[in-house]
Amino acid sequence: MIQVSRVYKRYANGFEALKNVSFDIAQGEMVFLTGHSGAGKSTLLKLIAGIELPSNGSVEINKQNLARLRPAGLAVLRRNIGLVFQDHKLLFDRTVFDNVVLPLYINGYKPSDMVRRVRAALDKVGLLDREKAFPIALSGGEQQRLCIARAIVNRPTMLVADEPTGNLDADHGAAIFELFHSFNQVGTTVLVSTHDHTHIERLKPRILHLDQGRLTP
Amino acid sequence: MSGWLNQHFHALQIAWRRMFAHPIGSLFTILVIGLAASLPAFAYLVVNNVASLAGKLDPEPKLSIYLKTSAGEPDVAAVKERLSATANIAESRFVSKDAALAELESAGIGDIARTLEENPLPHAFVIKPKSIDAAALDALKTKIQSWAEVDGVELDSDWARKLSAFVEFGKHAVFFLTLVLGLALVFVMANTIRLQILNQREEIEVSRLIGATPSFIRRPFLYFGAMQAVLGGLLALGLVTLGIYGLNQATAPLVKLYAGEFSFHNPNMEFGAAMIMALIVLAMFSAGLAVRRTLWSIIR
Repeated sequence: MIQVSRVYKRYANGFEALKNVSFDIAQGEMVFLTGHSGAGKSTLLKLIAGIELPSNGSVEINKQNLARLRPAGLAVLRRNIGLVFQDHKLLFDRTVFDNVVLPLYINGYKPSDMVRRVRAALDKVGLLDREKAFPIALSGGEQQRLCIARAIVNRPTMLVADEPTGNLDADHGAAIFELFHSFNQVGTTVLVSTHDHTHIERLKPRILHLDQGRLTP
Repeated sequence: MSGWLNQHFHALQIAWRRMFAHPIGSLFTILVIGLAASLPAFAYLVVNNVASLAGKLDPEPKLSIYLKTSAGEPDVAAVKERLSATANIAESRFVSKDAALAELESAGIGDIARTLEENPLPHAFVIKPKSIDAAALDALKTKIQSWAEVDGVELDSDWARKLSAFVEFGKHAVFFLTLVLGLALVFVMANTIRLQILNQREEIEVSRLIGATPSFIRRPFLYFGAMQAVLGGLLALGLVTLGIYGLNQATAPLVKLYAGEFSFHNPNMEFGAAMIMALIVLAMFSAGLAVRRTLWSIIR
């Protein structure tokens, strides 16, 4: 499903975030990306989401090279990827409901399906009673859960999450990983960057460890 | 199909919300569109109305030859003979003093003449010259003027030709005005959309990350431009209608003086629809321009 081949990422200031990174992820796998801060985890996830392009090498999803996709093609591909961002990327002038419903509008769902799906997603992250609130009224953890609800509302075939439990307490963090695990159980590919080893031990996913931009065994 | 409609409805909702998110800014843009559109629209209607009036007039030059009031049948016959012998005359028509009075009465302004004891109007000839060259017409006019039986000669279509020339000039002026203000509108609307795009930068980025196609992102901006164009167009139509009403009020005494039945027509449905459609096209073009220049610089 995901093929990362000999990827390098150099920034304009000369910093090399990724060095010769290669790996494959099959459909339905659950993979944890680990490493210290600055190891290149977020950069790698950005390349997989098509937010940034590699300086060298290629990133392919479903055999499509992201660097060669036109904007519309990239958009269609992203509809099948649920992205959970470290900085949430919420729309603060819209309610919780309106933030979560946005991917459904983009996918052209019927209004009746939208309401049902949004409520189901909010229920899964424990925010059903906050659907009319604005993100500014939510705590950091709730904002993170809202971001997760938006990522899963479309039932994507792949979930990519960058430190999804960074702002959550232990209970909520465990619940979110349990949610990812349940999605993975029904065939969703899950790629999560984390440094939370308690979940790694419990869920026993495949581990990709990055150290100074290189994959290490 | 319903999904596609849903996306368009969603885009309309976003555009509507954005318009009311900055009501003062939107109001000013609509005012600018309305004023800029009303100027050429008003000028076009005025010129068109005047053109229809000019169209009813015969632009071919004709000379009216008025004989002296004392002129009798022999004088008429003498003038007729001389006219037939004159080179630059295509045709001539005799209008007796009785026929002239009847013509005045049918035009509704023979009342004063009827109060007099005898018909004050002279016998006349209306002639159509072969050449409409100004020098030839002047020579013909001078020649006839010198005849003893003739009291005066007038070139009838002179003012009609001047009016036609004015209408032609007016049409060119309206075209130029429309071009200049249309261009100004493109810049105003493109700048408004550009600011909208920069204001919505965060929303655009998020939408893009969760799978919005470029057309999904572009659509609300196009609708936003179209909405402003429709409201600006309606405002322009209102202003033009008001202007035509004022013009009719101002010209009514003049029209009455000439016992005519002329008034400036208000914009009709076709004109209104065409103007609003033109503004929508202009707005869509401006929005497209702004999106092309601004949007793609902030998303991949």
